[in-house]
Amino acid sequence: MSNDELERCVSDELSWDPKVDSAAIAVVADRGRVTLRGTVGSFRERREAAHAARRVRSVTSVENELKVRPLTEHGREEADLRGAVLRALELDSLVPKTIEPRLDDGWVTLFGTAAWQYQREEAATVAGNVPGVIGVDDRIDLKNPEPSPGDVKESIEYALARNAELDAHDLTVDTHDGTIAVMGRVRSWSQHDTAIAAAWAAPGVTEVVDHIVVDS
Amino acid sequence: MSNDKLVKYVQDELYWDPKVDSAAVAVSADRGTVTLRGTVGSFREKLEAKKAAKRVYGVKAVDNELEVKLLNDQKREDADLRGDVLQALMLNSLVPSTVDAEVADGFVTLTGTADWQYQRDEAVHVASNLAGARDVLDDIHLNPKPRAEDVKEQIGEAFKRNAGLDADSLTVTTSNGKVTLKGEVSSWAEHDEAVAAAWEAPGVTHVDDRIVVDY
Repeated sequence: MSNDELERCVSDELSWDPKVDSAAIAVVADRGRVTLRGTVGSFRERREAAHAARRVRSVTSVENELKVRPLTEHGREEADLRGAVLRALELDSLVPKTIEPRLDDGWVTLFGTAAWQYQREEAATVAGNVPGVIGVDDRIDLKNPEPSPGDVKESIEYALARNAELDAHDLTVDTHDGTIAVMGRVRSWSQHDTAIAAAWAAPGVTEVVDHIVVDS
Repeated sequence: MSNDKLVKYVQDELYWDPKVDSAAVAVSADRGTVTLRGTVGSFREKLEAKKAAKRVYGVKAVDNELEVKLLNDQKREDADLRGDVLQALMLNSLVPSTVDAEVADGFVTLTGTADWQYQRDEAVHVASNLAGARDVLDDIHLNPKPRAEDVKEQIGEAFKRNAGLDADSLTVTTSNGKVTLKGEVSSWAEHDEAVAAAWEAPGVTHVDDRIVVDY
């Protein structure tokens, strides 16, 4: 696919996706590498735009340079916004109480600890969904109280093998001191995300190094 | 795949998933249809258990009969839970203020209106995360919207663009805002991708999902 064609497909997907107002988004493609520039009205939209671009066939990577300009009706006072983010985190039963947000001009930085990657992701997602937030930085420490007794590599490989979406033969897993590396090729970002999530589910994992190549 | 093997794979996936405490979950399988029985401690876990089962190779359908058993200190007064649901919805930029909620005995029913299916999905997702919710029912009405002339073609294009779909294995028919999807996919992930794409078409008020997951 030519760069022009890919740009058109990504632009079409952004127009199509009702969660994104793509009026002020410019798409540039260079041999599968897509860059998004311009502005959107919320951090959520910024995230959704990158997600939409990754769905598109032949996109190998997305560089998200979108700037967030919140719509005036969502503009909030700092103290208000911090309160809102705190409350949103509190109301989500998946987010542990050991996580706390700091606010700086609409930017949320998350501190504290969590036992699992999914909890960090949930906190970042929920914080990012609060109207008025323009960015989220995740500095949460993973403190895993139950390091795996068994063979982590084997258990991850088994998780990949039983997954309907993945062809486990195209993926390999290496482990070293709580760090997992996943390598190989997949045909879509959806498969990529599924494989990475499977690695993060292993008990005792504190880091997953992503060497998966998306080649559609 | 034998029923026993499928049960083992699903049990292992439930055990693997840190979001689900599968200690009191029983799995049975019958030619690709998996039934989940037993109890979990929250509605979110009940949803995650079904999602986990659907990830497993060989699972064609999941019957989720899990019961949500709240611990005593998680039980909430209905009025309090409703207040929290509404607050959580307000703190989510994707959910419009036209969505409302009713709570009876921990059962949350979402009411009101929305313009898009993704807004309904998001509202359900948010409500499901609240401690004390035993179930979340979606009674939100979709506002009718002007329809595009070529919805069928547009959905077809969306399928072709999508790296996770084999557009040739799916067919789309449309009739007055209702979209019918047919065809075969080889994972629930693909199925969900196709249904989500159909719901993004302007003017769609209903998606009749006849896609079969086969391996």
